[in-house]
Amino acid sequence: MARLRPRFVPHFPAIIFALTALLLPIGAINGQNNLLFWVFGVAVATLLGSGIIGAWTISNITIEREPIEPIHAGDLLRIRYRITNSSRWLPAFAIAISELNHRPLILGKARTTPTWPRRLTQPFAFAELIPRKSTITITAEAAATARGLATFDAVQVWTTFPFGLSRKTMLHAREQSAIIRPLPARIHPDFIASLARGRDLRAAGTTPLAGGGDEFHSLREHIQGEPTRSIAWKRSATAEKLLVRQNAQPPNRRLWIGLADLRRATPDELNDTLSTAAGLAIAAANAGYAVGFLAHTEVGHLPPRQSARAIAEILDALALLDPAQHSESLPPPPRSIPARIAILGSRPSTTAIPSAGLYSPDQITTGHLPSHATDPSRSPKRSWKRTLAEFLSPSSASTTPTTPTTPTTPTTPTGGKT
Amino acid sequence: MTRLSSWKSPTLILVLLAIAGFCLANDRLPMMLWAWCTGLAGWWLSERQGGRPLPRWIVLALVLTVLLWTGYRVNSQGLEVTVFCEFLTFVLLVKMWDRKRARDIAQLISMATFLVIGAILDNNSLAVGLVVLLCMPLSAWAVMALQLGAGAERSTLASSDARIAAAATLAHTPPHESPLPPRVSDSAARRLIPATALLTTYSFLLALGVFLVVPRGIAGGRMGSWGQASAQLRTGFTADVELGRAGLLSESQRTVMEVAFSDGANKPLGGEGQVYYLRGAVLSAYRDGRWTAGANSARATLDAAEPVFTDATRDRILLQDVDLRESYSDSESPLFAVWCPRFMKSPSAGLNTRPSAGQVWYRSARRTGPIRYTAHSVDQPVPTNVTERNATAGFDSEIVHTFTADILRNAELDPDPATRPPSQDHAVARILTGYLRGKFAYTTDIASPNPGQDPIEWFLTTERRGHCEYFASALAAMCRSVGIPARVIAGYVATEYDPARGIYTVRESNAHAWTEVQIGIGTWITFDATPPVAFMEIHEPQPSWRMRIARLMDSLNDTWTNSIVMFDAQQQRRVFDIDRLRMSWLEPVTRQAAEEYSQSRGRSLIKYMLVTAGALTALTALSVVATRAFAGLSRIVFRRTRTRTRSTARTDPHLRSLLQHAGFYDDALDLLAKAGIPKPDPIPPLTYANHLHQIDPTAANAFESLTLAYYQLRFARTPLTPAQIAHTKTQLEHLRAAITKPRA
Repeated sequence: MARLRPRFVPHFPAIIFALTALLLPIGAINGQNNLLFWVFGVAVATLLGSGIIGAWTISNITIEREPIEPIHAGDLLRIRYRITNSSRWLPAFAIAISELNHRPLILGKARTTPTWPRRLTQPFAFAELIPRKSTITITAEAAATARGLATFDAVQVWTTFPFGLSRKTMLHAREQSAIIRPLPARIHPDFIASLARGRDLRAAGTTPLAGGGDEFHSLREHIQGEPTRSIAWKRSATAEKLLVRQNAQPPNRRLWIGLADLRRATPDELNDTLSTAAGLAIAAANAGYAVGFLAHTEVGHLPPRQSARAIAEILDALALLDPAQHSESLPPPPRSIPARIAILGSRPSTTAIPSAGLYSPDQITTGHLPSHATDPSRSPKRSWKRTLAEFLSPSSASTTPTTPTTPTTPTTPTGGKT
Repeated sequence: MTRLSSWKSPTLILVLLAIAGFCLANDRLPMMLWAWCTGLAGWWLSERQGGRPLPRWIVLALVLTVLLWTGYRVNSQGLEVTVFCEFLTFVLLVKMWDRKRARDIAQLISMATFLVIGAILDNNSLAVGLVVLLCMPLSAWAVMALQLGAGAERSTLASSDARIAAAATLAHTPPHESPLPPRVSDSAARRLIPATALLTTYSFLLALGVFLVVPRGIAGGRMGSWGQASAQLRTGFTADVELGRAGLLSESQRTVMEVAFSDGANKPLGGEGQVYYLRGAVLSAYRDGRWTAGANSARATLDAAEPVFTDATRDRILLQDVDLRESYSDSESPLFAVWCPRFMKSPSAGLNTRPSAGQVWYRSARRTGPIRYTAHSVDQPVPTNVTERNATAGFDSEIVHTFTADILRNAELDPDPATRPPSQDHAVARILTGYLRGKFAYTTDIASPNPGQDPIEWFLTTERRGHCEYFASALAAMCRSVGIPARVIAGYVATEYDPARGIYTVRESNAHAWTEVQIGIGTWITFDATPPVAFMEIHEPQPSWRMRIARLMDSLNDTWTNSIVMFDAQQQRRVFDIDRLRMSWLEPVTRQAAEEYSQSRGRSLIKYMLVTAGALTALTALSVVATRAFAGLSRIVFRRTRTRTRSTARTDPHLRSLLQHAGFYDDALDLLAKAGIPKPDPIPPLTYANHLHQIDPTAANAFESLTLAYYQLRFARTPLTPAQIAHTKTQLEHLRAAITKPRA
């Protein structure tokens, strides 16, 4: 981990101070004013002290950035720094920390340009006091303004202590990245309920598993300690041993979320689509769906799973999705995994729909989520007014499908907002 | 009002102190009180809980008004330091009513610093010096607190901005509430105080080094009066009288000499109320506000033969046994005597005299030091029958002449020397003296005239107040303007009579200037135009507790003036006395450097500056070493104090003797502190040992064993067995090894 010697960056107060300090000896010599000589001495001490103490302080500081959890756009990113003052003599005062927002060539030519400035506001943290030989942790807050991968390269540690005359800066190379997931749109519960109104998605011929569902699965021997209530007395009498009713596992509801071709989508449309996909993934997972992801890009398939990690992977995939790398059409999902499919796109596009035969039409919920399926209180900024307008407009309900249907063509290219 | 620990409070104190410095420098105590009240009220109203600063437009309007007023003052009075300082004072007051973000606090600190520098340019008095000394730690504290406050403010604003940006991303309305005012934690504020002390000590040492090392007497006055303190203390006797410089006369009580007066029959003279004028310098030439000895003061050796007084003069003889303790300079000193001195005798040789003026100087190749001498003077009576007067140079000032002529015409005397009989000269001098005494005021603090204006004209027509030099100069000038020869005398007045010893004690505050007017040919009569009331107040003060305090203050003032304000090249050489420092090897080097410098004057300035820079660097290194030594010493003292505190808390001698063997526990605590994991005071040792388990189990076990051994001594009051002592040593080693090993 590279660390450089402190750099001195004089700023305006230092220039004023230096000019004044230059005038002092001239005035003192001309007027033989001894108090001016004294003040000149103080000014020299101040300049030297500012340099020596500031450099001493900053060169004894080491910093580590703690791992950054993924967040959603619109959330506050909290970056925690562990700062150590290794000085045996001096406590460190007024240590400021910020992230370098350009390529730190001073650390070597192999450095990369950090991408966080496009996705985050400037993080800034400030430590008032770090006692000698001790470590503290401080937090910087930054707003995540756009989805994507925010990469960090160098941490700037600087101080103007003690006299504010020069800014002593030390760069610490600490490469790290943070995933900023799309802002999840809030999905209306009715829409999630409508997903279940299709046919039973369990594939024929598959054997249900024993579980905690309502339907009967099989009989098995009673295990000591089980409640006697569950004993099937008649069958037990027949079999002359205690048998217990074992119910089947509840039907496994699965949902594929696919994205239409977004190569021609505007940034706002792209964000809206990804936001809706993220919201849908979260809402479906909360409703008990195993959610999978179909992507045009190299991410490929993320098979439906019912776990927080699976949702996190989908959200990460949505965060990192690059529409420029979209292929022509969606890859088919594995046929062995029956599931409902929600295909989202920015505008109606037949190219987004997989070729016939790969999907059965009644499986597909496609097009665009109806505008009233999303909750405007947690929608991306640019779509908020339009969504509200559509929500209030009587015609909007008629132009947007509310049930899973085969692909339809909305009345206007931008009519179906996600 | 904010608490004292708030990061803005040092700035408040600094601003108040800076305003006090300016007001003290210019003797404006009412203004100081008003400014303090106004500033404190503004600060309280704007900083208290729920308080509001003045609206920005009002602040801007007030600053603009102050700016316009200053422009008007500059236009009418010229660009003076005082005007600039007034501007700073008013802007500071306005800013104290304004909001106080970090930027505003920085402005306040900057302006306060400039105001202190302005006060230094105004005055170098003890009060200003104290303000400067107090401002050193205060400004350091304020600036360091500002660094903390500014950082906290920036952090708060960054968080606030982030929240606004997040709300904007979510299409929410940004939060309306303003961010909380930034606060600096109490622990950081507390830790600032020792840091301030350390930095102030360092700055003081370095400033002292610069003060002592920077050469004096080079290029003084090359750029006019810039940088000169316009009001300096002037102490005691001066060989020349320079008018036109604002100044404050010293009331130093340092004894200059002791004099015993007697008549021709050796009968002691003097008593309460009897005043003697002891002449030192006779100043007859005037040019550009400066009285000097003049051309007719060629020095000649005094005839060593004692004069023979006739019976006619014997009753007018005044013998003076003088014990002169303070010489005027290192190499020469006037021998003070009452007019008209005829003979001076001293065991020391080398007396010189200026016979025409009766002025005697003692010169020596070595430092003069104290000198004892006897002076014989003969009183000169006022001549009664004056028929002629000496032709003398008049005073080249139409203003003075017109002014004097008006006075004389009012007194029905002829101002024209050609038509006025010489017998009226004494009356003319008496009337002019009376006029000055009655119509003009005495003050020890005086401003300076406008550039280009003659100080005597300014005193007579504009200021109409001044100290003794102005009165003496004015009388001499007025007499000369109407054709009467006159000269200014600088010396001392003997007023403080000690009846027990029969001697007069003359102090520096008794320094005085008066006038001698020639009546007829060769008879010089003493006239003192200084108002008698002021004269008595200054030279014959009534003893009281006020007087004692005043004398104490004056001695402090005197020490300040002599050691700081008047520190010059001479004192600089004395400070760096090679012999006293026993650095004989350095002597040839420094002598050569000094000779080279004195020969080349300004030409070797760069070389001298390089030497100075080298000295400064050495001083810096020295101060760094001193700081580290100080820190180490503090640590030792702190440790001893901690041990002593713990021991003295126990009054039980048995316990104390037991705890003398508990050094291992202190060592263990020190080891933990050095490793950056100090045991916090409020946490019991065993609890802390449990906490240590999470960091290093080996260290925790060792510390736990040591703690148990300490508990045995402390609470069970059982001495440790040799085996236990050996065990503690082993555990201490384990602890040391555990906390010094590299961690992953």
